[in-house]
Amino acid sequence: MIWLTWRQHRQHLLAGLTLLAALGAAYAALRGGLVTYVRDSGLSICLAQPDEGCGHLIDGLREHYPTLLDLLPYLSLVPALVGVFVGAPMVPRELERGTNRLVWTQSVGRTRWLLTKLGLLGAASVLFGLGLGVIDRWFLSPYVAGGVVSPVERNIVGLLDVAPATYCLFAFGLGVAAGGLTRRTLPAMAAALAVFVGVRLGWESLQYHLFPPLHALVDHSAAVPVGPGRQDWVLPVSPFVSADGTPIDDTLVARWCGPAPTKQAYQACLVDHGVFSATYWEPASRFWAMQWLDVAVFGAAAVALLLVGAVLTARRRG
Amino acid sequence: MTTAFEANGLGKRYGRRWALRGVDLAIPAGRVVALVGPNGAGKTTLLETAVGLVRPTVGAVRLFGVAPGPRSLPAVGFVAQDKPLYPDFRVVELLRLARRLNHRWDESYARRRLDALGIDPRRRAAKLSGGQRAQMALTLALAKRPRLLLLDEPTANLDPLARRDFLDAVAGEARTTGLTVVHSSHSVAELNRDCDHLVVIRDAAVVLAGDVARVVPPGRDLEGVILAALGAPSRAVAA
Repeated sequence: MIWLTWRQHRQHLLAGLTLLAALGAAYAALRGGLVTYVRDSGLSICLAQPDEGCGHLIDGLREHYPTLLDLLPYLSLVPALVGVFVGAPMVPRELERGTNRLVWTQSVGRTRWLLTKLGLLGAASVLFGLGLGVIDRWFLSPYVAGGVVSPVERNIVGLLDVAPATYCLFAFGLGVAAGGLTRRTLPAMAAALAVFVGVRLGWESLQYHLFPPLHALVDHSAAVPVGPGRQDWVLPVSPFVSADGTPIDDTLVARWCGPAPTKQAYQACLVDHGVFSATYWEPASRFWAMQWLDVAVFGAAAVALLLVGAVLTARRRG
Repeated sequence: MTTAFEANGLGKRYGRRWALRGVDLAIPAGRVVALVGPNGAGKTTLLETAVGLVRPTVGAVRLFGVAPGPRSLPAVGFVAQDKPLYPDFRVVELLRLARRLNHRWDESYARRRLDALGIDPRRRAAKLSGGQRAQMALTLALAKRPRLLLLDEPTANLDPLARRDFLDAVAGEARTTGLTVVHSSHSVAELNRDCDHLVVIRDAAVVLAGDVARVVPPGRDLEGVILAALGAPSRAVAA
Protein backbone atom coordinates (compact mmCIF):
# COMPACT_ATOMS: atom_id res chain seq x y z
CA MET A 1 0.00 0.00 0.00
CA ILE A 2 2.85 2.39 0.81
CA TRP A 3 4.37 1.71 -2.59
CA LEU A 4 1.01 2.23 -4.34
CA THR A 5 0.47 5.54 -2.52
CA TRP A 6 3.93 6.67 -3.59
CA ARG A 7 3.37 5.51 -7.19
CA GLN A 8 0.03 7.30 -7.50
CA HIS A 9 1.03 10.50 -5.71
CA ARG A 10 4.70 10.99 -6.55
CA GLN A 11 3.76 13.73 -9.01
CA HIS A 12 1.94 15.56 -6.21
CA LEU A 13 5.01 15.27 -4.01
CA LEU A 14 7.18 16.61 -6.80
CA ALA A 15 4.77 19.50 -7.45
CA GLY A 16 4.70 20.37 -3.73
CA LEU A 17 8.48 20.33 -3.41
CA THR A 18 8.81 22.38 -6.61
CA LEU A 19 6.39 24.96 -5.26
CA LEU A 20 8.29 25.25 -1.97
CA ALA A 21 11.60 25.50 -3.83
CA ALA A 22 10.24 28.18 -6.20
CA LEU A 23 8.86 30.18 -3.28
CA GLY A 24 12.14 29.83 -1.43
CA ALA A 25 14.15 30.89 -4.48
CA ALA A 26 11.93 33.92 -5.12
CA TYR A 27 12.16 34.96 -1.48
CA ALA A 28 15.93 34.43 -1.40
CA ALA A 29 16.36 36.70 -4.42
CA LEU A 30 14.20 39.43 -2.88
CA ARG A 31 15.49 38.99 0.63
CA GLY A 32 19.12 39.57 -0.36
CA GLY A 33 18.57 43.30 -0.88
CA LEU A 34 16.46 43.48 2.25
CA VAL A 35 19.10 41.93 4.49
CA THR A 36 21.75 44.23 2.99
CA TYR A 37 19.57 47.25 3.71
CA VAL A 38 18.91 46.24 7.33
CA ARG A 39 22.65 45.84 7.90
CA ASP A 40 24.05 48.79 5.93
CA SER A 41 21.47 51.42 6.89
CA GLY A 42 22.16 50.90 10.58
CA LEU A 43 18.60 49.66 11.16
CA SER A 44 19.75 46.50 12.89
CA ILE A 45 21.79 48.58 15.39
CA CYS A 46 18.89 50.99 15.90
CA LEU A 47 16.43 48.14 16.52
CA ALA A 48 18.75 46.73 19.17
CA GLN A 49 18.16 49.88 21.26
CA PRO A 50 14.91 49.43 23.17
CA ASP A 51 13.86 53.10 23.17
CA GLU A 52 14.66 54.10 19.62
CA GLY A 53 11.85 54.83 17.16
CA CYS A 54 14.05 54.22 14.09
CA GLY A 55 11.25 55.91 12.11
CA HIS A 56 12.95 56.96 8.88
CA LEU A 57 15.04 53.78 8.74
CA ILE A 58 11.86 51.70 8.99
CA ASP A 59 10.24 53.85 6.31
CA GLY A 60 13.19 52.88 4.13
CA LEU A 61 12.47 49.24 4.86
CA ARG A 62 8.86 49.83 3.86
CA GLU A 63 10.11 51.11 0.52
CA HIS A 64 11.64 47.74 -0.18
CA TYR A 65 9.24 45.57 -2.19
CA PRO A 66 5.92 47.06 -1.13
CA THR A 67 4.19 45.35 -4.11
CA LEU A 68 5.43 41.98 -2.94
CA LEU A 69 3.87 42.54 0.46
CA ASP A 70 0.58 43.22 -1.31
CA LEU A 71 0.73 39.71 -2.76
CA LEU A 72 1.03 38.05 0.65
CA PRO A 73 -2.75 37.61 1.19
CA TYR A 74 -2.85 35.26 -1.79
CA LEU A 75 -0.29 33.00 -0.15
CA SER A 76 -2.90 32.17 2.48
CA LEU A 77 -4.80 30.29 -0.25
CA VAL A 78 -1.87 28.01 -1.16
CA PRO A 79 -3.09 25.24 1.22
CA ALA A 80 -6.25 25.01 -0.93
CA LEU A 81 -4.08 23.32 -3.59
CA VAL A 82 -3.68 20.31 -1.30
CA GLY A 83 -7.45 19.90 -1.05
CA VAL A 84 -8.14 20.53 -4.72
CA PHE A 85 -5.41 18.39 -6.29
CA VAL A 86 -4.71 15.70 -3.69
CA GLY A 87 -7.76 15.31 -1.44
CA ALA A 88 -10.66 15.83 -3.83
CA PRO A 89 -9.62 13.41 -6.63
CA MET A 90 -8.41 10.65 -4.29
CA VAL A 91 -11.60 8.56 -4.36
CA PRO A 92 -13.63 9.94 -7.33
CA ARG A 93 -10.80 9.32 -9.80
CA GLU A 94 -10.80 5.63 -8.82
CA LEU A 95 -14.58 5.44 -9.19
CA GLU A 96 -14.56 7.19 -12.57
CA ARG A 97 -11.93 4.84 -14.00
CA GLY A 98 -13.40 1.80 -12.27
CA THR A 99 -10.01 1.02 -10.73
CA ASN A 100 -11.59 0.89 -7.27
CA ARG A 101 -12.97 -2.49 -8.38
CA LEU A 102 -9.39 -3.63 -8.97
CA VAL A 103 -7.70 -2.14 -5.94
CA TRP A 104 -10.44 -2.73 -3.33
CA THR A 105 -10.74 -6.41 -4.22
CA GLN A 106 -7.11 -7.27 -3.48
CA SER A 107 -6.42 -9.12 -0.24
CA VAL A 108 -5.72 -6.04 1.90
CA GLY A 109 -9.21 -4.68 1.28
CA ARG A 110 -10.77 -1.25 1.18
CA THR A 111 -10.24 -0.21 4.81
CA ARG A 112 -6.46 -0.68 4.68
CA TRP A 113 -6.39 1.19 1.37
CA LEU A 114 -8.26 4.10 2.94
CA LEU A 115 -6.28 4.24 6.17
CA THR A 116 -2.91 4.09 4.40
CA LYS A 117 -3.84 6.76 1.88
CA LEU A 118 -5.36 9.10 4.46
CA GLY A 119 -2.44 8.59 6.84
CA LEU A 120 0.37 9.09 4.34
CA LEU A 121 -1.23 11.88 2.34
CA GLY A 122 -2.39 13.62 5.53
CA ALA A 123 1.14 13.49 6.92
CA ALA A 124 2.52 14.80 3.62
CA SER A 125 -0.01 17.67 3.71
CA VAL A 126 1.14 18.63 7.20
CA LEU A 127 4.80 18.57 6.14
CA PHE A 128 4.04 20.71 3.10
CA GLY A 129 2.26 23.20 5.38
CA LEU A 130 5.17 23.25 7.80
CA GLY A 131 7.44 23.99 4.86
CA LEU A 132 5.25 26.93 3.87
CA GLY A 133 5.23 28.21 7.47
CA VAL A 134 9.00 28.01 7.80
CA ILE A 135 9.69 29.67 4.44
CA ASP A 136 7.20 32.50 5.03
CA ARG A 137 8.56 33.09 8.55
CA TRP A 138 12.10 33.20 7.19
CA PHE A 139 11.20 35.64 4.44
CA LEU A 140 9.17 37.96 6.66
CA SER A 141 11.55 37.98 9.62
CA PRO A 142 13.32 41.26 8.63
CA TYR A 143 9.94 42.97 8.18
CA VAL A 144 8.68 41.58 11.47
CA ALA A 145 11.85 42.69 13.28
CA GLY A 146 11.49 46.18 11.80
CA GLY A 147 7.82 46.42 12.69
CA VAL A 148 6.74 46.88 9.05
CA VAL A 149 4.76 43.68 9.29
CA SER A 150 3.27 42.46 12.53
CA PRO A 151 3.14 38.72 13.17
CA VAL A 152 -0.47 39.09 14.39
CA GLU A 153 -1.57 41.09 11.35
CA ARG A 154 -4.50 39.94 9.23
CA ASN A 155 -3.15 37.89 6.26
CA ILE A 156 0.11 37.32 8.12
CA VAL A 157 -0.64 35.34 11.27
CA GLY A 158 -1.95 32.43 9.17
CA LEU A 159 1.20 32.33 7.02
CA LEU A 160 3.69 31.79 9.80
CA ASP A 161 4.97 28.77 11.70
CA VAL A 162 2.42 26.01 12.41
CA ALA A 163 -0.81 27.59 11.13
CA PRO A 164 -0.28 26.65 7.43
CA ALA A 165 0.22 22.99 8.42
CA THR A 166 -3.23 22.81 9.98
CA TYR A 167 -4.78 24.66 7.03
CA CYS A 168 -3.20 22.11 4.67
CA LEU A 169 -4.54 19.17 6.67
CA PHE A 170 -7.94 20.88 6.80
CA ALA A 171 -7.88 21.42 3.02
CA PHE A 172 -6.96 17.76 2.50
CA GLY A 173 -9.85 16.64 4.72
CA LEU A 174 -12.16 19.01 2.89
CA GLY A 175 -11.14 17.48 -0.44
CA VAL A 176 -11.60 13.90 0.76
CA ALA A 177 -15.02 14.68 2.25
CA ALA A 178 -16.08 16.50 -0.94
CA GLY A 179 -14.91 13.51 -2.99
CA GLY A 180 -16.86 11.13 -0.78
CA LEU A 181 -20.00 13.24 -1.11
CA THR A 182 -19.94 14.11 -4.82
CA ARG A 183 -18.11 11.00 -6.08
CA ARG A 184 -17.08 13.10 -9.11
CA THR A 185 -13.63 14.60 -9.51
CA LEU A 186 -14.43 18.04 -10.89
CA PRO A 187 -17.36 18.91 -8.58
CA ALA A 188 -15.28 17.71 -5.62
CA MET A 189 -12.36 19.94 -6.65
CA ALA A 190 -14.64 22.95 -7.09
CA ALA A 191 -16.39 22.35 -3.77
CA ALA A 192 -13.09 21.94 -1.91
CA LEU A 193 -11.78 25.21 -3.36
CA ALA A 194 -14.94 27.22 -2.69
CA VAL A 195 -15.38 26.01 0.88
CA PHE A 196 -11.71 26.48 1.72
CA VAL A 197 -11.62 30.07 0.46
CA GLY A 198 -14.87 30.90 2.27
CA VAL A 199 -13.80 29.34 5.57
CA ARG A 200 -10.32 30.83 5.42
CA LEU A 201 -11.53 34.39 4.79
CA GLY A 202 -14.35 34.05 7.31
CA TRP A 203 -11.95 32.79 9.94
CA GLU A 204 -9.69 35.82 9.48
CA SER A 205 -12.54 38.09 10.52
CA LEU A 206 -13.68 35.80 13.31
CA GLN A 207 -10.16 35.63 14.74
CA TYR A 208 -10.20 39.31 15.72
CA HIS A 209 -13.55 38.84 17.45
CA LEU A 210 -12.02 36.07 19.52
CA PHE A 211 -8.97 38.21 20.20
CA PRO A 212 -10.53 41.70 20.37
CA PRO A 213 -7.94 44.42 19.75
CA LEU A 214 -6.93 46.66 22.64
CA HIS A 215 -7.62 50.35 22.26
CA ALA A 216 -6.48 53.64 23.72
CA LEU A 217 -7.13 57.34 23.23
CA VAL A 218 -4.12 59.12 21.88
CA ASP A 219 -3.53 62.70 22.96
CA HIS A 220 -2.05 64.56 20.01
CA SER A 221 0.28 66.52 22.25
CA ALA A 222 2.38 63.43 22.76
CA ALA A 223 5.26 63.17 20.33
CA VAL A 224 5.17 59.41 20.13
CA PRO A 225 1.74 57.79 20.38
CA VAL A 226 1.34 55.75 23.53
CA GLY A 227 -0.14 52.26 23.31
CA PRO A 228 0.99 49.72 20.73
CA GLY A 229 4.52 48.41 20.72
CA ARG A 230 6.64 48.13 17.61
CA GLN A 231 5.60 44.57 16.68
CA ASP A 232 1.93 44.95 17.57
CA TRP A 233 -0.51 45.29 14.73
CA VAL A 234 -2.16 48.71 14.67
CA LEU A 235 -5.49 48.34 12.91
CA PRO A 236 -5.89 50.74 9.99
CA VAL A 237 -8.69 52.70 11.68
CA SER A 238 -8.06 55.71 13.88
CA PRO A 239 -11.26 57.72 14.16
CA PHE A 240 -11.31 61.08 15.89
CA VAL A 241 -12.99 60.94 19.30
CA SER A 242 -13.62 63.28 22.18
CA ALA A 243 -12.14 62.72 25.63
CA ASP A 244 -15.08 60.47 26.61
CA GLY A 245 -14.70 58.33 23.49
CA THR A 246 -17.62 59.62 21.38
CA PRO A 247 -16.72 59.86 17.69
CA ILE A 248 -16.21 63.27 16.11
CA ASP A 249 -17.04 63.68 12.45
CA ASP A 250 -14.03 64.04 10.12
CA THR A 251 -15.51 67.10 8.37
CA LEU A 252 -15.88 68.90 11.69
CA VAL A 253 -12.22 68.29 12.50
CA ALA A 254 -11.27 69.49 9.02
CA ARG A 255 -13.26 72.71 9.55
CA TRP A 256 -11.58 73.37 12.91
CA CYS A 257 -8.01 72.63 12.03
CA GLY A 258 -8.21 72.77 8.21
CA PRO A 259 -5.00 72.81 6.24
CA ALA A 260 -2.52 73.76 8.95
CA PRO A 261 0.86 75.29 8.05
CA THR A 262 2.83 72.67 9.99
CA LYS A 263 2.26 69.29 11.57
CA GLN A 264 2.92 70.84 14.99
CA ALA A 265 0.31 73.53 14.40
CA TYR A 266 -2.23 70.92 13.32
CA GLN A 267 -1.59 68.80 16.43
CA ALA A 268 -1.80 71.89 18.67
CA CYS A 269 -5.16 72.72 17.08
CA LEU A 270 -6.44 69.21 17.76
CA VAL A 271 -5.36 69.48 21.41
CA ASP A 272 -7.10 72.87 21.70
CA HIS A 273 -10.37 71.41 20.41
CA GLY A 274 -10.12 68.39 22.69
CA VAL A 275 -9.77 65.96 19.76
CA PHE A 276 -8.21 62.57 20.48
CA SER A 277 -7.52 59.63 18.20
CA ALA A 278 -8.64 56.15 19.10
CA THR A 279 -6.00 53.57 18.35
CA TYR A 280 -6.83 49.88 18.09
CA TRP A 281 -4.10 47.32 18.13
CA GLU A 282 -3.56 43.60 18.37
CA PRO A 283 -0.64 42.83 20.70
CA ALA A 284 2.08 40.68 19.16
CA SER A 285 2.22 38.76 22.43
CA ARG A 286 -1.00 36.99 21.37
CA PHE A 287 0.72 35.38 18.39
CA TRP A 288 1.06 31.89 19.88
CA ALA A 289 -2.43 31.94 21.38
CA MET A 290 -3.77 32.69 17.89
CA GLN A 291 -1.62 30.00 16.31
CA TRP A 292 -2.65 27.31 18.78
CA LEU A 293 -6.30 28.22 18.39
CA ASP A 294 -5.82 27.70 14.62
CA VAL A 295 -4.26 24.31 15.31
CA ALA A 296 -7.08 23.27 17.63
CA VAL A 297 -9.98 24.48 15.46
CA PHE A 298 -8.67 23.43 12.06
CA GLY A 299 -7.06 20.26 13.36
CA ALA A 300 -10.38 19.14 14.84
CA ALA A 301 -12.25 20.13 11.67
CA ALA A 302 -9.72 18.21 9.56
CA VAL A 303 -10.13 15.05 11.64
CA ALA A 304 -13.92 15.32 11.43
CA LEU A 305 -13.81 15.82 7.65
CA LEU A 306 -11.41 12.91 7.13
CA LEU A 307 -13.77 10.73 9.14
CA VAL A 308 -16.75 11.81 7.04
CA GLY A 309 -14.80 11.12 3.84
CA ALA A 310 -13.61 7.74 5.10
CA VAL A 311 -17.07 6.61 6.22
CA LEU A 312 -18.67 7.72 2.95
CA THR A 313 -16.02 5.85 0.97
CA ALA A 314 -16.09 2.72 3.09
CA ARG A 315 -19.86 2.38 3.34
CA ARG A 316 -21.30 3.35 0.01
CA ARG A 317 -21.46 1.33 -3.16
CA GLY A 318 -18.08 0.78 -4.76
CA MET B 1 -18.65 -31.08 -0.16
CA THR B 2 -17.47 -27.47 0.27
CA THR B 3 -19.72 -24.68 -0.89
CA ALA B 4 -17.67 -22.08 -2.74
CA PHE B 5 -20.39 -19.49 -3.22
CA GLU B 6 -23.45 -19.24 -1.05
CA ALA B 7 -26.22 -16.63 -1.07
CA ASN B 8 -29.12 -16.57 1.38
CA GLY B 9 -32.14 -14.33 0.82
CA LEU B 10 -29.79 -11.90 -0.91
CA GLY B 11 -31.28 -8.62 -2.10
CA LYS B 12 -29.95 -5.24 -3.21
CA ARG B 13 -32.12 -2.20 -3.76
CA TYR B 14 -31.04 1.05 -5.45
CA GLY B 15 -33.65 3.65 -4.60
CA ARG B 16 -36.95 1.96 -5.43
CA ARG B 17 -35.52 -0.55 -7.88
CA TRP B 18 -34.37 -3.99 -6.78
CA ALA B 19 -31.19 -4.96 -8.64
CA LEU B 20 -31.25 -8.33 -6.93
CA ARG B 21 -34.02 -9.90 -4.88
CA GLY B 22 -34.52 -13.10 -2.92
CA VAL B 23 -31.45 -14.84 -4.28
CA ASP B 24 -30.60 -18.23 -2.77
CA LEU B 25 -27.62 -20.00 -4.27
CA ALA B 26 -25.20 -22.73 -3.28
CA ILE B 27 -22.41 -23.42 -5.75
CA PRO B 28 -20.20 -26.39 -4.87
CA ALA B 29 -16.44 -25.93 -5.03
CA GLY B 30 -14.72 -27.02 -8.22
CA ARG B 31 -17.49 -26.07 -10.61
CA VAL B 32 -17.15 -23.90 -13.69
CA VAL B 33 -20.32 -21.82 -13.55
CA ALA B 34 -21.96 -19.97 -16.41
CA LEU B 35 -23.89 -17.04 -14.94
CA VAL B 36 -26.23 -15.98 -17.74
CA GLY B 37 -28.82 -13.24 -18.02
CA PRO B 38 -29.69 -10.17 -20.05
CA ASN B 39 -28.05 -6.80 -19.40
CA GLY B 40 -29.30 -5.28 -16.18
CA ALA B 41 -30.54 -8.60 -14.81
CA GLY B 42 -28.30 -8.33 -11.73
CA LYS B 43 -25.19 -10.35 -12.66
CA THR B 44 -22.73 -7.57 -11.84
CA THR B 45 -24.54 -6.77 -8.60
CA LEU B 46 -24.35 -10.43 -7.57
CA LEU B 47 -20.60 -10.67 -8.28
CA GLU B 48 -19.80 -7.30 -6.71
CA THR B 49 -21.72 -8.24 -3.59
CA ALA B 50 -19.51 -11.31 -3.30
CA VAL B 51 -16.31 -9.21 -3.25
CA GLY B 52 -17.68 -6.54 -0.92
CA LEU B 53 -17.94 -3.75 -3.49
CA VAL B 54 -21.72 -3.74 -3.02
CA ARG B 55 -23.35 -4.06 0.40
CA PRO B 56 -26.51 -6.15 0.31
CA THR B 57 -29.76 -4.50 1.39
CA VAL B 58 -30.97 -7.82 2.81
CA GLY B 59 -29.49 -11.29 3.15
CA ALA B 60 -25.86 -12.33 2.90
CA VAL B 61 -23.19 -13.85 0.67
CA ARG B 62 -20.54 -16.24 1.92
CA LEU B 63 -17.52 -17.51 0.03
CA PHE B 64 -16.23 -20.76 1.50
CA GLY B 65 -18.25 -19.86 4.58
CA VAL B 66 -16.67 -16.41 5.03
CA ALA B 67 -18.47 -13.07 4.68
CA PRO B 68 -17.06 -10.58 2.10
CA GLY B 69 -14.13 -8.54 3.38
CA PRO B 70 -10.40 -8.78 4.01
CA ARG B 71 -10.85 -12.31 5.38
CA SER B 72 -12.48 -13.67 2.24
CA LEU B 73 -10.69 -11.58 -0.40
CA PRO B 74 -7.40 -13.57 -0.42
CA ALA B 75 -9.37 -16.58 -1.70
CA VAL B 76 -11.01 -14.66 -4.55
CA GLY B 77 -9.69 -13.58 -7.92
CA PHE B 78 -12.01 -10.94 -9.37
CA VAL B 79 -11.93 -9.63 -12.92
CA ALA B 80 -14.32 -6.69 -12.94
CA GLN B 81 -16.38 -5.65 -15.91
CA ASP B 82 -14.33 -3.74 -18.53
CA LYS B 83 -11.13 -5.06 -16.89
CA PRO B 84 -10.13 -1.83 -15.07
CA LEU B 85 -6.35 -1.22 -14.91
CA TYR B 86 -4.46 1.97 -14.02
CA PRO B 87 -3.81 3.31 -17.53
CA ASP B 88 -0.51 5.01 -16.65
CA PHE B 89 0.93 1.93 -14.89
CA ARG B 90 3.36 -0.31 -16.72
CA VAL B 91 2.72 -4.05 -16.70
CA VAL B 92 5.51 -4.55 -14.12
CA GLU B 93 3.93 -1.90 -11.94
CA LEU B 94 0.57 -3.66 -12.04
CA LEU B 95 2.33 -6.85 -10.95
CA ARG B 96 4.04 -4.93 -8.18
CA LEU B 97 0.70 -3.46 -7.06
CA ALA B 98 -0.82 -6.93 -6.81
CA ARG B 99 2.29 -8.30 -5.08
CA ARG B 100 2.13 -5.54 -2.47
CA LEU B 101 -1.60 -5.87 -1.89
CA ASN B 102 -1.80 -9.66 -1.55
CA HIS B 103 -0.12 -11.80 1.07
CA ARG B 104 -0.18 -14.77 -1.30
CA TRP B 105 1.21 -13.94 -4.71
CA ASP B 106 2.90 -16.15 -7.28
CA GLU B 107 5.26 -13.78 -9.08
CA SER B 108 7.01 -16.40 -11.18
CA TYR B 109 3.66 -17.75 -12.37
CA ALA B 110 2.56 -14.24 -13.39
CA ARG B 111 5.86 -13.59 -15.19
CA ARG B 112 5.77 -16.92 -17.02
CA ARG B 113 2.18 -16.36 -18.07
CA LEU B 114 2.80 -12.84 -19.43
CA ASP B 115 5.96 -14.05 -21.15
CA ALA B 116 4.07 -16.88 -22.86
CA LEU B 117 1.44 -14.38 -23.98
CA GLY B 118 4.11 -12.06 -25.36
CA ILE B 119 3.04 -9.12 -23.17
CA ASP B 120 5.93 -6.69 -22.74
CA PRO B 121 6.42 -5.92 -19.02
CA ARG B 122 7.51 -2.35 -19.89
CA ARG B 123 4.28 -1.58 -21.74
CA ARG B 124 1.78 0.81 -20.19
CA ALA B 125 -1.69 -0.57 -19.48
CA ALA B 126 -3.29 2.07 -21.73
CA LYS B 127 -1.28 0.67 -24.68
CA LEU B 128 -2.41 -2.94 -24.27
CA SER B 129 -4.77 -4.42 -26.87
CA GLY B 130 -8.23 -5.59 -25.76
CA GLY B 131 -7.09 -9.21 -25.63
CA GLN B 132 -3.89 -8.36 -23.75
CA ARG B 133 -5.85 -6.25 -21.31
CA ALA B 134 -8.17 -9.17 -20.54
CA GLN B 135 -5.20 -11.51 -20.13
CA MET B 136 -3.44 -9.00 -17.90
CA ALA B 137 -6.50 -8.73 -15.64
CA LEU B 138 -6.79 -12.53 -15.59
CA THR B 139 -3.10 -12.85 -14.69
CA LEU B 140 -3.53 -10.46 -11.75
CA ALA B 141 -6.50 -12.50 -10.55
CA LEU B 142 -4.85 -15.92 -11.01
CA ALA B 143 -1.44 -15.10 -9.50
CA LYS B 144 -3.25 -14.51 -6.20
CA ARG B 145 -3.72 -18.28 -6.34
CA PRO B 146 -7.42 -17.93 -5.50
CA ARG B 147 -9.84 -20.76 -4.81
CA LEU B 148 -12.64 -18.90 -6.57
CA LEU B 149 -12.38 -16.90 -9.78
CA LEU B 150 -15.15 -14.40 -10.52
CA LEU B 151 -15.25 -13.09 -14.09
CA ASP B 152 -17.69 -10.30 -14.95
CA GLU B 153 -18.31 -10.37 -18.72
CA PRO B 154 -14.60 -10.87 -19.40
CA THR B 155 -15.00 -11.72 -23.09
CA ALA B 156 -17.23 -8.78 -24.01
CA ASN B 157 -15.60 -6.65 -26.75
CA LEU B 158 -12.97 -9.30 -27.49
CA ASP B 159 -12.40 -10.56 -31.00
CA PRO B 160 -13.16 -14.28 -31.51
CA LEU B 161 -9.52 -15.34 -31.35
CA ALA B 162 -8.79 -13.44 -28.13
CA ARG B 163 -12.06 -14.76 -26.67
CA ARG B 164 -11.06 -18.35 -27.39
CA ASP B 165 -7.58 -17.84 -25.92
CA PHE B 166 -9.12 -16.35 -22.79
CA LEU B 167 -11.67 -19.16 -22.32
CA ASP B 168 -8.99 -21.81 -22.96
CA ALA B 169 -6.77 -20.24 -20.30
CA VAL B 170 -9.61 -20.25 -17.75
CA ALA B 171 -10.60 -23.82 -18.62
CA GLY B 172 -7.00 -25.00 -18.36
CA GLU B 173 -6.59 -23.38 -14.98
CA ALA B 174 -9.84 -24.88 -13.69
CA ARG B 175 -8.85 -28.34 -14.92
CA THR B 176 -5.37 -28.36 -13.42
CA THR B 177 -5.99 -26.60 -10.10
CA GLY B 178 -9.59 -27.42 -9.16
CA LEU B 179 -10.38 -23.69 -9.17
CA THR B 180 -14.05 -22.72 -8.91
CA VAL B 181 -15.01 -20.30 -11.69
CA VAL B 182 -18.08 -18.08 -12.00
CA HIS B 183 -18.22 -16.52 -15.45
CA SER B 184 -20.99 -14.08 -16.29
CA SER B 185 -22.21 -13.34 -19.79
CA HIS B 186 -25.21 -11.54 -21.22
CA SER B 187 -25.68 -13.68 -24.31
CA VAL B 188 -25.62 -17.36 -25.16
CA ALA B 189 -23.09 -16.56 -27.89
CA GLU B 190 -20.66 -15.47 -25.15
CA LEU B 191 -21.45 -18.49 -23.03
CA ASN B 192 -18.59 -20.41 -21.50
CA ARG B 193 -18.88 -23.82 -23.24
CA ASP B 194 -16.71 -25.48 -20.62
CA CYS B 195 -19.24 -24.85 -17.87
CA ASP B 196 -20.61 -27.72 -15.80
CA HIS B 197 -22.96 -25.61 -13.68
CA LEU B 198 -25.57 -23.09 -14.77
CA VAL B 199 -27.11 -20.05 -13.06
CA VAL B 200 -29.69 -18.14 -15.06
CA ILE B 201 -30.75 -14.75 -13.76
CA ARG B 202 -33.63 -12.59 -14.96
CA ASP B 203 -35.22 -9.42 -13.57
CA ALA B 204 -33.09 -9.46 -10.41
CA ALA B 205 -33.94 -13.07 -9.56
CA VAL B 206 -32.35 -16.48 -10.14
CA VAL B 207 -34.68 -18.48 -12.39
CA LEU B 208 -32.55 -21.59 -12.89
CA ALA B 209 -29.55 -23.00 -11.05
CA GLY B 210 -27.90 -26.39 -11.00
CA ASP B 211 -25.34 -28.73 -12.52
CA VAL B 212 -25.60 -28.87 -16.29
CA ALA B 213 -25.91 -32.65 -16.15
CA ARG B 214 -29.03 -32.25 -14.03
CA VAL B 215 -30.76 -29.16 -15.52
CA VAL B 216 -30.21 -30.05 -19.16
CA PRO B 217 -32.25 -33.16 -19.97
CA PRO B 218 -30.91 -35.64 -22.54
CA GLY B 219 -31.69 -34.49 -26.03
CA ARG B 220 -31.89 -30.79 -25.12
CA ASP B 221 -29.07 -28.34 -25.66
CA LEU B 222 -27.74 -25.80 -23.19
CA GLU B 223 -28.91 -22.77 -25.21
CA GLY B 224 -32.42 -24.13 -25.46
CA VAL B 225 -32.61 -24.64 -21.69
CA ILE B 226 -31.31 -21.13 -20.99
CA LEU B 227 -33.71 -19.50 -23.44
CA ALA B 228 -36.60 -21.47 -22.00
CA ALA B 229 -35.64 -20.37 -18.48
CA LEU B 230 -35.63 -16.76 -19.62
CA GLY B 231 -39.19 -17.13 -20.94
CA ALA B 232 -39.92 -15.55 -24.28
CA PRO B 233 -36.68 -15.63 -26.29
CA SER B 234 -35.07 -12.34 -25.38
CA ARG B 235 -33.25 -10.77 -28.31
CA ALA B 236 -30.43 -9.57 -26.07
CA VAL B 237 -29.83 -13.08 -24.87
CA ALA B 238 -30.30 -14.84 -28.17
CA ALA B 239 -27.95 -12.46 -29.98
